[in-house]
Amino acid sequence: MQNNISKLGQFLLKVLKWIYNHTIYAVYSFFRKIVQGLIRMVKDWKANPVAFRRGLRSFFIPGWGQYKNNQWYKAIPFFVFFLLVLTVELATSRYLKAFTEIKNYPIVTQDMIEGGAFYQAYRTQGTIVNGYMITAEDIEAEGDYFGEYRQAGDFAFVDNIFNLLDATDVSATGDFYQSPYQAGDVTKKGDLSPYMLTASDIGTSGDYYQSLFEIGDVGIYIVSNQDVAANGAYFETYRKAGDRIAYVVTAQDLLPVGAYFETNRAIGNIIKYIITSEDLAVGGLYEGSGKAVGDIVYETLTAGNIDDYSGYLIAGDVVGGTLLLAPQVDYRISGDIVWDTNINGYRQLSSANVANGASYYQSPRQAGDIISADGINKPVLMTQALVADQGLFFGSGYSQGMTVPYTLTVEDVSEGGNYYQSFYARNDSFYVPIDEFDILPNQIDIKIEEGVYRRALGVHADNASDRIYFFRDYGGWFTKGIWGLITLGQIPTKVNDQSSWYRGWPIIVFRSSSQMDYPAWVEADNSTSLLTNGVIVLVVTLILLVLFIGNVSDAYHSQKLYEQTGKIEDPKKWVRRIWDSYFSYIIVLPTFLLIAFFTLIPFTFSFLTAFSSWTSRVSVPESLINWVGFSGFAQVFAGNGVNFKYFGNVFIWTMIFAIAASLTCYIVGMIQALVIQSKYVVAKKLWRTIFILPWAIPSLVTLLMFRNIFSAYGGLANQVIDSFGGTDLLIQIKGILYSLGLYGQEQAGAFSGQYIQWFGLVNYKLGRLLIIVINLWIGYPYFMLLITGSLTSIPSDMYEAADIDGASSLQKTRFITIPWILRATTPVIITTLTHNFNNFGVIYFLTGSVPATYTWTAAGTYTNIGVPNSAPSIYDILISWVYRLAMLTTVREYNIAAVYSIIIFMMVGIFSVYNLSRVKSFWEED
Amino acid sequence: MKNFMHALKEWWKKRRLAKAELRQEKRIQRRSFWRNLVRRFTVRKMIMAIITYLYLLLCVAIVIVPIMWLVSAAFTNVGAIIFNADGSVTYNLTNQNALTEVVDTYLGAQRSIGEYGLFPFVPDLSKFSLNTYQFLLTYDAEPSFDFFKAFFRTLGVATLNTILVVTFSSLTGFAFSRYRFKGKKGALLTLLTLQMFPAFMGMIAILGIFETFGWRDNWVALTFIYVAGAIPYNTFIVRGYMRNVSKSLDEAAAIDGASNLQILVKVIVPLAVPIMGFIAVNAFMSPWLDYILPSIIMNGKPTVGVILYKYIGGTVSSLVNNPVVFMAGALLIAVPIMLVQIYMQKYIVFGLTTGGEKG
Repeated sequence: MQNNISKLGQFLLKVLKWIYNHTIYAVYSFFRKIVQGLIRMVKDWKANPVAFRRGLRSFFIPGWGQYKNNQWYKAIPFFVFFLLVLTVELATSRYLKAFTEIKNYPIVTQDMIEGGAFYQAYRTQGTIVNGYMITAEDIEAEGDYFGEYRQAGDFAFVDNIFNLLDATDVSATGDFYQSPYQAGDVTKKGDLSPYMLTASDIGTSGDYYQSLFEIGDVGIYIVSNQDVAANGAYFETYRKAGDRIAYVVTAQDLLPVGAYFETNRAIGNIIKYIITSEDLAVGGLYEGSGKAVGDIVYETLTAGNIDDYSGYLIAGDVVGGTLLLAPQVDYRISGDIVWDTNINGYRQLSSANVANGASYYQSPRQAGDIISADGINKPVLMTQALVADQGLFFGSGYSQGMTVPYTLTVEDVSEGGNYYQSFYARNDSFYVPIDEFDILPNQIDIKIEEGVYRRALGVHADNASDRIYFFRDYGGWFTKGIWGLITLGQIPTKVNDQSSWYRGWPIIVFRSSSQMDYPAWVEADNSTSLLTNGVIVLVVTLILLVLFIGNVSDAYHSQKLYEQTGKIEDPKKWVRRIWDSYFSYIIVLPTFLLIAFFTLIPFTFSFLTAFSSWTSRVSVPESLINWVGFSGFAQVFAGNGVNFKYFGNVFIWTMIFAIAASLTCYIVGMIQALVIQSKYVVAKKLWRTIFILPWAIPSLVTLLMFRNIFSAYGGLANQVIDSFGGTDLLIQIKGILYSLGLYGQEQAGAFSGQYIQWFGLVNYKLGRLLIIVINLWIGYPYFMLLITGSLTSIPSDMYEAADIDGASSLQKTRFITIPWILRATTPVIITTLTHNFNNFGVIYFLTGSVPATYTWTAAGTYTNIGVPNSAPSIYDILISWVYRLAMLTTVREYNIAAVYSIIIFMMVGIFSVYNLSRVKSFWEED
Repeated sequence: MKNFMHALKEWWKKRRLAKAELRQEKRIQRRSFWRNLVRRFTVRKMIMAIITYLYLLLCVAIVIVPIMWLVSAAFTNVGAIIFNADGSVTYNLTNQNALTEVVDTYLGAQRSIGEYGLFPFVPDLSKFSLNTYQFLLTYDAEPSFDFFKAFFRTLGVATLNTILVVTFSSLTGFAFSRYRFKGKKGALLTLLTLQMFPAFMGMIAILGIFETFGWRDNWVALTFIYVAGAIPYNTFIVRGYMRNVSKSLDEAAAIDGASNLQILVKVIVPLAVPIMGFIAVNAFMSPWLDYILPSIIMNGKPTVGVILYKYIGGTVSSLVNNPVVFMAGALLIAVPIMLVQIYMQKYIVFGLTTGGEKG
């Protein structure tokens, strides 16, 4: 025992040492060589001053040293290449414009002259003056820019994008009448301007007829710059200009503000009159007219009868052809938030609250109610502030263990909010698993404090500010690529959100052709394309760097060679020398370029993704991806170990599958080979041909065929059983499977005559067995062929010697054939093991990676990392789980998938490289 | 060129002679087999032979039954697709199987051929029909279902793939087996390890690259991914093969003053023809029924595998979801592949042993 442990220790030590030698030490020695070379070169400076200078020249301008070496045929290509790189960088950049733009912030100066859009327009918030962006405070009464007009050189909106409001817009007939905007304000074209509904709007032909809106409602309210300035309605609130908010009904709103409020009736109006008993009495207006009490008559007012009907206009009167309608009572609807004196706080009305007979049935809206902004969507989820003495989801109907979407409100990200100074921004939404604290009063803070989501998967966005990101705005292909790789973008946006500004421009997400007159930086950064480009640039730069080093070293060595031999190498000789001594590099080069582009770049990309916050919940390009270091790796252990439990369970099944699949195929393959090669069998080739059929059919076809055969919906397997023995046989087989522990117990009606569910959730042991069996069906011919091949290579004299010793055929097989085969094919078993470890096809095409819910315990559904559907299926091996994490539309946890990919890669890579290292011939130099 | 042709002819002649010799040997073997059987007949041996053959027949049954089912599904009219007189097509997607079903909400509801009442895995000749094929080849209501275009597109991919894979992996394999150079070990390790990273993660990046360069739905670009993916494995195979081929020939050529290129073209390539053939066949076969990669980047202009998968992998409600069509198409593509695989058996065994044993 002691001995075994020390052996194991030695083995592990050996493995670790080997890994160290081939990773860290290899990289270290590579760089040591480069540094040593450089040191040698510098040391040699005194000995070879000229050569050193040549190298230095080529360092600054590639080709210069070669030119001085009188080797024009090298100088020209190097220099042309250098120019090419320089051209690409410059042509894709905007360096030349940078100076003037940064200095002046030029704007169309015609706008400033009289009649121009910005003539005598006030400097507003967001305008940039000499590189400074005016804030809300600056234009207040005591601010630095109070009352200043815009001037040429200011960086502000231009006319073709924004409306400049003039006096007519805000006059009684203008679009912005009674809006918070004033003449001189600039609003964005196409934005919804606050619009006050009129009587005609809610008339039978009006746009808002039978809508939820009433006269005086403001359809949607966008907070303006004025609102957030001093004296504004939202000054020193959390609101920002551009916020769309639910509208609070005020006392003013309830006053009749209709066009005819308290208007005296005038001659020419038609009025509706209901005849009373007095009218019909003697002396009444309608005496003897034949009308009855309650009849409706319409009277046109004239000078003669105006006195009889004097008073204010009322509903039913017709004025100028318009029928005046009675204002309907504005009842509360479900979704409204009202102040409840019983709980001394706000509450949101449900449909039950406003139902007939309930306490809020036909209750009129009152000042202080919060109503839906658009009349359709409910107001935002109640925040903690609104339900101050309750948990976040208290009374919401959600129960512990559920995962619900949650959208951050302004309060959440403001000071005092739960996500203040977190990576999250307003309107970010993510899934929150509800734990017991959420449905209990007063415990929410504890929950948020321990939240793992906050750091690891945080969506961080630098708020667009008045900083200038130089490489972002002006860099060329190379510099911008590297900038993008390092930062992953700096300017995010939200669609239609006017609060996203950068250098005086609102940030847009997509550029349509009509928006081409925007400057380049108006587009929000798209982190994914920046990452892709960055990786491409990185690889290209590394290749160029190799060329560059070659250039410097060539200038140095050519001069040294000249000093030694006194001869300048002519082009023909040089080409000859290169062709002869670097021939192997030349023929390998195309392959490596191809692999660099189509394998190395994707590899680097995926590798880097593991260290980023990229998930589907980061809505690129509205938000930015971030580098988050090893947080993604921490996720493997997060969630109270649930994630790790998933990983562990999937890993165990992966190992079982890999080992079982490889061994069964190997053993069956060997049996087949031995049987076919046995002396009893004639027509060996025919048998072999039949037996390799499963391998010859493309595996996609085979797997999907088997999926169909073992379908619970009347697949072949079920039908065969059914047709042979009917329901009885089905039940019998189920019983046998049950007694073997393979068939499900919990399933309702499991032992009735229903079809067998081969790949079920409860019956997962049966399904897993089937996977291994089907894999055997597909995979044994490979080993059969392989072993047949190595059988023929057994020298016949070994058998002859055995015959002389009188060995039986069984003994010959046992002592000669099998050891020989084992020795010859062991490396292949190990290769197959790694292949099966990543055998995505069998799992995915056979089971479709379902059932999606993963039940290791008796009951309940699980999600991984708080994202629905991300938990592995019961049949998933690691690779198919990674596929689910990265590719399933509802999941797309790219970073977590990359983390698991790296883990798989480490395991498989180290295993197989170490395995190969033991195969001596692999490393033999010949 | 003349020398090369001569060398090729010589090589071919030698190969033919060797084959003839082998045949002769086998003939003798076979004769002695029967002679031995008759001479050394015992009851024990008879029983052993019977057991062996029974075992083999059982195995044949297990292998053949699912394949027979595939064939009979492809050629049977099960009423799933009916061509009307006016040229329109009726899809019969009702469940004809009235037997009770276990409906598992977790399980992706995939249609089964069984639903059409098709049971026999022995072909029922009275039901023989080519309806499924007619549908597969003529259904082009959507461009992404045009089987003919997809076929020629995939043919293009396969051809280009073959040319490039053979060229590149042979060159690399030769370099690794015949030359010593700095960084050889590192390059081999890189080749080996890069291909072990799970491919799906790379696919996201590939999608990004393809969008950057506007290569989506471009079959040439798709081919390059296949090529880059296939090179490492095939390089190892060529290397393993070439190490077993004697170096004396190229050494002799080098002494005679042949250049690197001459040695490569005139000596090494003719020697490596068998293994290049093996690689070529594999490279030509692989794109036909590949699904995951083309389904991501070739959405608009799919390859054959993507179209066939659409017939079986979709949801129940989908109109074209029809596994019978999949079976028919799969058979159409799989049969040539199968035949070539069977024909190339010897090379495959040979490729497996060189690739496997020698790393």
